[in-house]
Amino acid sequence: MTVTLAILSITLGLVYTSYGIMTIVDMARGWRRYGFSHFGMAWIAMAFTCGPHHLEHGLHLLSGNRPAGPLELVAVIVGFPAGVIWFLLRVEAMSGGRGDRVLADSFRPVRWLPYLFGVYGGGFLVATVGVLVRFEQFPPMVASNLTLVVLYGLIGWYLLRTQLKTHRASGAWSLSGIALTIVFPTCALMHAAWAAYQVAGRYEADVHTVIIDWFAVPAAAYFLWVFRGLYAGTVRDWNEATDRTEREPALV
Amino acid sequence: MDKSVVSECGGGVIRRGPSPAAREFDVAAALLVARSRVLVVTFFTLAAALAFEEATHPALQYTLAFAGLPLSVALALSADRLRPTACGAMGAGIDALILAVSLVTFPEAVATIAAAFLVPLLIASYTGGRSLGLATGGVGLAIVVIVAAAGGGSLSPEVGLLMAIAMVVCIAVVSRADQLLARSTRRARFHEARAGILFEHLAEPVVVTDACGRMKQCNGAARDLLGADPAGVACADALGLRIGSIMVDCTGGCGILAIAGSRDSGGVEATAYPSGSDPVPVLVSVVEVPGSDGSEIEYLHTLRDITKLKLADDAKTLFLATVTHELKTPLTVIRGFLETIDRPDLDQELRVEAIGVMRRRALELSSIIDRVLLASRIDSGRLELDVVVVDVVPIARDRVDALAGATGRAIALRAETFTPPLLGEEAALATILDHLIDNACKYSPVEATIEVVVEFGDDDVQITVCDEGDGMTAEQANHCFDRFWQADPTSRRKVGGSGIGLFIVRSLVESLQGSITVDSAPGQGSRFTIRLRRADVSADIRLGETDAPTPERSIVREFMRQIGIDIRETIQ
Repeated sequence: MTVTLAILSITLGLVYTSYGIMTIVDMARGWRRYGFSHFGMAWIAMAFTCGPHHLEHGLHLLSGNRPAGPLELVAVIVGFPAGVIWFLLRVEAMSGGRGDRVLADSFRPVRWLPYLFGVYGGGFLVATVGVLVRFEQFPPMVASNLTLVVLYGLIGWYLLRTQLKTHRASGAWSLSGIALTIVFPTCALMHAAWAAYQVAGRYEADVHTVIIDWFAVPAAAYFLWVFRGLYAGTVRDWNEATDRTEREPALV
Repeated sequence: MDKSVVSECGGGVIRRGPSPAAREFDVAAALLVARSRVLVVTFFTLAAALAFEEATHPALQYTLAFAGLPLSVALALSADRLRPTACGAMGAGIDALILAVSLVTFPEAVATIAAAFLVPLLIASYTGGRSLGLATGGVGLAIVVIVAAAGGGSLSPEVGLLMAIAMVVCIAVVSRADQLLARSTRRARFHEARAGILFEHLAEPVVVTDACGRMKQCNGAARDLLGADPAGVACADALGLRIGSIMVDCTGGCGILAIAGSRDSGGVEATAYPSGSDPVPVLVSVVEVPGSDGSEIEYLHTLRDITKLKLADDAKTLFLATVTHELKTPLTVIRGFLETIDRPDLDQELRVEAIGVMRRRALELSSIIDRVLLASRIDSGRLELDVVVVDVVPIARDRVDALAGATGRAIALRAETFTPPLLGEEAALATILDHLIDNACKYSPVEATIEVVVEFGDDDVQITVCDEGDGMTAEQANHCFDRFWQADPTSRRKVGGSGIGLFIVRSLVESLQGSITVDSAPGQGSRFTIRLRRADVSADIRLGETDAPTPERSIVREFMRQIGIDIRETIQ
């Protein structure tokens, strides 16, 4: 269990960190054309907190510093395919491809997804309560995890709402959107599991985790602010940016 | 749109003035604040006067009574005319004075007064911006700290720190709210300007009249139609609409709507008699709209000039008559010969000749029908040409030989020894040449020679068909490619034709991305020149492949699109 969790965590860490680098490259490319992007910056902030967070977890597990909790393993297993699919689609987009797949309503797995996720989320919460029954302490360091549960949960909720809205309008699902919608609540559940294990005395917070998690809080808050602002129209970003580069006249 | 036209119904007065501007809200807020400040100044002046005997700083109290109070009244009376920054600065100065007097008079209430001071601080931030807010807040805090220190240190460091944080948060919140307000104002202005531009540049004339039948607003197309800006003029004078011979009466509301009997007239055919202009047949549609003030009803008239439609309708009627005549002539011949060959005593030689005539006439009928069908396909946009690399000289030679044989006319072909291939379609080129040569045959004397010349330039191949016929005037040459058009309608009976041949030629040439010109003068014949792209130098040689550049991909923008954020692309 420990090795599996460690390998999955390290892979996810590399994936998210790579995405951060890709976004930096994209920001640098588009800077002259569109100016600064809050959305891009928020993603960079998220990628460089989530990525190192997973890397740190994996490395600590491999070095034997702490045991692996089953709830954490479940969360990572559920989040892993969604995260990797989403990342591969981003890679495809960056290399000039579509960066997404449209899933028709008739695609059976999508229809089952809400039920499966409901069972998973419900079971996870029950198991978390089971862990919390063995309450030993309430270390202040848990606060960052709890804040992240709320922030990631909110982001997940907004993403879900958007996906439902898009589906109502188009009658189809976006694979990229669904993947991301799964990633955020799973991250929230993983932080909930971590907090539960800490409260139950199973995990001990180390300084690396605490530092990274406290960096993750403003990053997630920034992301949430940008995300909501883009939908509300209060944040101006690359979606409505003016192309400031001079166009060469067409040859024909 | 900074300007709008407003009229008053009774006097028909037109005035131009600023539309509701973005400052409206700021002015209202500034007035409210300034009037509230008068109350506060009055209250503190009275309170300070009552506590005057124990006052430690009477000069401040005098300043408040003899400068702060009148200044605040002056500000309340003129806040709507002052610049927002000046208004904010003056108000902030008075607020600081109030704060100082209240603190020195009632030092024990320092925390409460300082907290209350956040209100004017917010106002200063709102009206004067972040800098003024910070300046006011800083001065206010300094006064609080100094007074507290002078009064024995009743302000704890924690309270001071909290107040500073509260001040910064307040300024940030207000500044953000102001930013959002400014953004919505900009958007509102943008949409207003956009609506104004759309209205002004609508191709259809649009006129707005008031309930009394007076013109309130009209766009550029309407001004062109009516000859001048008719704002304020009575509808009957400016438009002079008539349905048949009945004048539309708009004095008691819109006459068109009264006739239609509803709030939306739909299309009503009428004739406009603008003053000083010729009558114009128009399709009028009127709809009731709320007035500028939200209560008065106004009428939005859309006037579609249907002169061209009428002309086209007339032309179509003439075309039908001509085509019917064209079809009837060979049919009559065929019918006559059918009756002839039905005779049992007819000579075999004559029977064979009759059948030959009938075959030729049947082919003629088929040709007329093909032409009409082709024109119909062009009209409906269903003409699709498969553009390929074509050698034009053999096609031209083939058509020249065929038509010379069929008409018995002298048709010469002159082509360069080596003519490069062009981008076209074989059948379309044959049709173009057939129509042009046929046209030349019709309008030139029988003994005259018709010449077809194929030449080439750096980028194109030119095909010219010259005749020595009647020629055309410049006006006729301008219209010769119009559908159903003929130089002289009376010549239809003489030379035949339905007026669609040259229309087909131009449509086919344009479909091949070429051009056609005519050079003609009365009595000097006509010279039609077609220019088509040379295949060997054309950039579009790889047909069917898209040369569109791949748009620059951004994963950030791509991702925004996927999660449902509206992407709007604008280019400076």
